[in-house]
Amino acid sequence: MRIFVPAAIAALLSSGCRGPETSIHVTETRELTYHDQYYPGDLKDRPPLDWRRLPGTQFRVLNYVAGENEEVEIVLGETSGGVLENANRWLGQFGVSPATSLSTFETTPFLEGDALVVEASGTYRPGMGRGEQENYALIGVILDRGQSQVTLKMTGPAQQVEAQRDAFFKYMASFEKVDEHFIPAENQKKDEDFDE
Amino acid sequence: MSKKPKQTSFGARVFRILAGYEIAVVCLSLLFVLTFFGTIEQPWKGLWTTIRKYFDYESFFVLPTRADGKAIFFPLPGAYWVIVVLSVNMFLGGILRARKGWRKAGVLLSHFAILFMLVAGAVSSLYKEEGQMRVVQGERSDYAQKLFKHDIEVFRYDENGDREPPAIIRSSYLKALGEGDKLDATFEKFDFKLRVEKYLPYSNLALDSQGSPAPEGAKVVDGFYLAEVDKNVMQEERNVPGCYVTIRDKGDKVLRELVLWGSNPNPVSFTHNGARYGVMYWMEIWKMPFLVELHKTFGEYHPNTGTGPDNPGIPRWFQSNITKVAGDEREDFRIVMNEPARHEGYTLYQSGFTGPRPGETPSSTFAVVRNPADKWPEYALYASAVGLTFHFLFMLFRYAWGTRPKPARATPEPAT
Repeated sequence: MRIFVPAAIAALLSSGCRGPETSIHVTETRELTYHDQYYPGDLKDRPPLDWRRLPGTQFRVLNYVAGENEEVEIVLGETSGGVLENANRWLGQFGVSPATSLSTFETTPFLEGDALVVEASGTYRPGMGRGEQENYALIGVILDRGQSQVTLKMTGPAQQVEAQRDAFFKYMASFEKVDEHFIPAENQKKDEDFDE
Repeated sequence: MSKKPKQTSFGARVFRILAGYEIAVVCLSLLFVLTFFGTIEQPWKGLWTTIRKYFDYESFFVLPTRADGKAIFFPLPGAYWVIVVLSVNMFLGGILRARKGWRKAGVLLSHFAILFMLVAGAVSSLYKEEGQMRVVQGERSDYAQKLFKHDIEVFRYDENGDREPPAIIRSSYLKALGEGDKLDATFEKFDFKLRVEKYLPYSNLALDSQGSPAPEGAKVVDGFYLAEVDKNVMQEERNVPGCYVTIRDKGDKVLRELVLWGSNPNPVSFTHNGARYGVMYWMEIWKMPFLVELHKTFGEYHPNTGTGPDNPGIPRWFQSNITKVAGDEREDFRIVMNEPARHEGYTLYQSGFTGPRPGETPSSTFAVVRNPADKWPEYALYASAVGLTFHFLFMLFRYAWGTRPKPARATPEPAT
């Protein structure tokens, strides 16, 4: 008994002081839910296999890197301030004189409308505390949604941006609206259906 | 010759103490004091923190805290363990030691009901699952999220760009990690390994830029780093964990380093052997056996409790018109405060709503609870009421019909 009691206490204490696991084998999986169909703006995208997704930020809803040393950045964002103003802001980052009219830009189908295509190359001054880069290029599209604009922008070393051109436009065309999580029209109910 | 007083055994004396009223009185007094201090402390410590501190089974001792954060040196036992002692006392004293017989049946039943209620509390504390389901008006949902548990999910994208069922590294493994600890995970369904390190329970994901560079010594991955922040004691759900992970192939070659943060709703990705994989650190996803379709949410706020469009104030009432869909069965509910919807052990209470705002669709937040002991306290109350009613009626009849036992004749004191 004299031995048993201290031994039991020691066993109890040691079991409570056990350190964390250092290695585990994961076998548990989870069933898919609507959460797995969550896409920003309900837009599902299909990036090329060699693009890699990074954490998003306030201005980078979708944030990818690609190319050698992952120097090419592909960013989807939402902004405001007008289509021409945003196009000129992008051109200004490459020291290009601002355009006076939207008609100077080409357009391309993107999401539910026609988006403005903006291209530039040269010395890139992105601002926001980032240094300037020589021999860079930009390919971007801006879709006007009235109060806001959706932008998709690829920047990086000029040669690599050119190499990603087809992939960029293919990616742009890959967006599809996801609506599985909406109540189907035939199941929608009105307030009076819930009146007592 | 005088009779020797009867000697009681050690076991009987222990039983007498454990089953005695004294322990019951002490336990009930302690519960009163614990509830008092917990209630006082809750406004400045937050509801979640206070409940954990006073009532969790991991709390063996509690030091109440003043408003200025200083502890009052008045150590109290944790409420969970006081209730355990009270339950043992109730079982020994109120059931085992209590006089039996049909005349005492009502009292026995009441004692049993109270004990059952205490057990219900313990079962609830250990096995209850809670989560939050947020549904936007006009949409539907089939999952809830556990606000205080963040899992790492690793999944493969199929050829259509859709996610396959993810492998889960549970939060319990991650929460156990200290600052310098590492966790190596291998997967049944993947041929790569994942190492978790530099786990921070309270963190923020920060961008390393020329304007705001990462502090010296901080690990920067993909231009981001994790910054340690103070724990938010008032709103536990605002505490966001983060960690760094390294993906290695079977030969231990590093494939990719990633930074994961628990408030990033989108996965980060990497490519391996011709397939794309996603990694997420997010609140535990809890799949429901039913769908909730939210047709309409509406309510009212108490006047002068809001500070603007982002904080409209304290809701006075709210209502959600929903359809619960389980297989082919569809059932309509109006969920209002204190009137939840139920489904096979799951209970859906509305815990919040956001009204119409510019650029935002109204939404409801439901607290989802699965508690195996959900209805036990109710059953215990019925049983207790039946027991006490039986006992009081029995006493009344006995009084009315004059069948009270005659007072026992005084027994003469033994001569000494």
